[in-house]
Amino acid sequence: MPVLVVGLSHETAPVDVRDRVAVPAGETKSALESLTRVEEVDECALISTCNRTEAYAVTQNPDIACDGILRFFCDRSGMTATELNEHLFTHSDIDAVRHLFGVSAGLHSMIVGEPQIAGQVKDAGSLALETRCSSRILNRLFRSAVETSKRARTETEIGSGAVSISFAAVELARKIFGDLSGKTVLVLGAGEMSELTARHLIDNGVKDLWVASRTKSRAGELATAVQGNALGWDEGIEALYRADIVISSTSAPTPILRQDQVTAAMQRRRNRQMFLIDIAVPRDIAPDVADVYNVLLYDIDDLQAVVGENIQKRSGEAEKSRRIVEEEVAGFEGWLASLDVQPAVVALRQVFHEVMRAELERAKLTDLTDEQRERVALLLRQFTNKLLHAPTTRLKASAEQGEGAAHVDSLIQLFDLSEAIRDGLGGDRDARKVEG
Amino acid sequence: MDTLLILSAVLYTVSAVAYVLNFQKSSASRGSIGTSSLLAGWVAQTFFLGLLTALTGSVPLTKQVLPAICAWLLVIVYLYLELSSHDRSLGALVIPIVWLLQLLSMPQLYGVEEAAAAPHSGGWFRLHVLAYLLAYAAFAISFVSAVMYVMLLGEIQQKHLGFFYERLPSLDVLDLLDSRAATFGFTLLTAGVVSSTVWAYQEMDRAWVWAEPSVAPLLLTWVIYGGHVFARAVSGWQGRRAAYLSIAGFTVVILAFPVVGVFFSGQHPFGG
Repeated sequence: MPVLVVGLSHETAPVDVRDRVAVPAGETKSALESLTRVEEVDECALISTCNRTEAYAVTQNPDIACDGILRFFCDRSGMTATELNEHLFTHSDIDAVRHLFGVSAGLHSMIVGEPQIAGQVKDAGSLALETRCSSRILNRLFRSAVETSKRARTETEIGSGAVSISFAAVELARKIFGDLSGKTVLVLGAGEMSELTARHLIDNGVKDLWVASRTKSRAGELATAVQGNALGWDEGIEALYRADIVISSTSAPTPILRQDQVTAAMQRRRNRQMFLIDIAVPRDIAPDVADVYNVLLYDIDDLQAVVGENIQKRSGEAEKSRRIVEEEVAGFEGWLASLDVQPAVVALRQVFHEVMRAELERAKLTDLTDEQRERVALLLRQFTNKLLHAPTTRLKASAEQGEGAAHVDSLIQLFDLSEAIRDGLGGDRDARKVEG
Repeated sequence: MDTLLILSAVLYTVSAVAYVLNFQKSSASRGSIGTSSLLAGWVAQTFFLGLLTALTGSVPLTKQVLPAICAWLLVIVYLYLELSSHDRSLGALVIPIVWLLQLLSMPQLYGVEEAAAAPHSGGWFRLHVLAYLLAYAAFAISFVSAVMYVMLLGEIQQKHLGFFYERLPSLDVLDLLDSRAATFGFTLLTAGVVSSTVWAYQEMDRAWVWAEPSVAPLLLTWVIYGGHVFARAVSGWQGRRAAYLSIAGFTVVILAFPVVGVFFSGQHPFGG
């Protein structure tokens, strides 16, 4: 039962191609439904983020299914098959499984260990389950993928350490102040970078936030956007002493905050710790401000260095995560293999229970009361199940080791199961459709 | 009796090792081994001290028992901190101090069996000894948080975030802990000095002798922690400077412990 993935990602396609193929959030359901109609696709699921769009399918005929999925992507993007083929990748069977688990663990993300992708994989799995586009195999596959990302996150440090400037600044603030909820933040200059950092600080519990800008209207806009208060420029400098955290990102050509200003502010706040974050280029805060007692100053280069170290640490952890992915792949492979012996197991049980029922009927047992007959039937059922227990569990175990086929053959021979398997397979298939 | 003493010493040793290892590389098992052996060691020590008290009729305040009581109090304070903050990083330094104090109280080290000697019985005396010991336990906590504050601050200032950055609580928390522990310790130390003076008047019918060798380090300690509390409140010496004072203060406490221990044990000129 081959698993197939066809898709593209930031590793294979430039952003404009990714944008054209990407499925907007509102359309995932309908896209998934048209994917199920692709010829030879038995089960399917769809992951689409700004960095990747990937179609997963279970198929008996990979070549035809692959062509169908390619056409599906062509229809969506309006590109020709030749154009798209350049950027598409295809993995099948165990490679497809490995790919999904790696994606889920954040190994293929632009920034290794990035946490969002795990949630996106989970959502893709749930949507396929809800819409009944996926069934037994893909459901299990996506469950295992989520499990893999959880293990990678808890057993390795692939997701630790901030990997963006603004997150690194917030992480530092938390290491300095602990709880940020009672802290006052002053934002100088209303650029995009300060907005991002301010937002992260608010997400981390900051409630008291002030924005000061040369143009008060711009300060007002940012203040409204992040639920802070706007100040004029001079008011902002005046309020410096109240700030525990200062974020500066103006476009001023020379430093706007000198040492004497900070010294005065520190005296006014009785030397309580102050953390200054200078994310402007060129710098906003004079470097000698760092010499003022109980002042910590980080500029954009310092933060960049922190981010660089964290990224390096994560790549080191990626190796460990890869091992976890391999373990999970092996687990899934075993489960897939055990599916091969499933029909034989079902048939064997059917044959045994059939014999039991027939014998019970033949014996009639008319001299017993209803209750007694019930007890005899129960006894026989338990007896049959006990007899079957060891061979079925061993069969599944050997299937997971890849040695199931030989056992299945001898079972068919010994118990004359071929007919029962033929009957059972159809029934099993129907059951599988319903199971989703 | 001896078994209890040895048992608690062994458990404290296990705990200290577990806390240090847990700090170096955190794991759930190391952490819980640390905490549970600490608790078990403390229980063993409680029985030991209880038995000792029952045998001698009162808490024996001798050179060997004093550090043990100090360790015992320190464990209580530390466990309270750990349970309220769910953070074991302080333990990496506090528990080795507990272990050291327990080691000091092992009679074998002195080669003298004097645990039964109870020199004083006055209520004032007991009270002020208890105040001193609790103050010292508080100073130990203040010392540990100060050391960790300085380490973490150093990493952040040098912009090389690594070992301590990943392991310690925030600067604010460490500073607050240092401040509270130092203030608490200083208050008790003051109470101890006052009750000592009262006791000296009552028992000896004369004033405090400033030249007494054991008094000088005690007074120095008092001045340093007084300075700490004063500087924080008045001169805005938050953070690093206060931390240095805490480290200096505890260094004096440690260096003077044998001298002050003699004072406590009543073998000084005041004694009976």
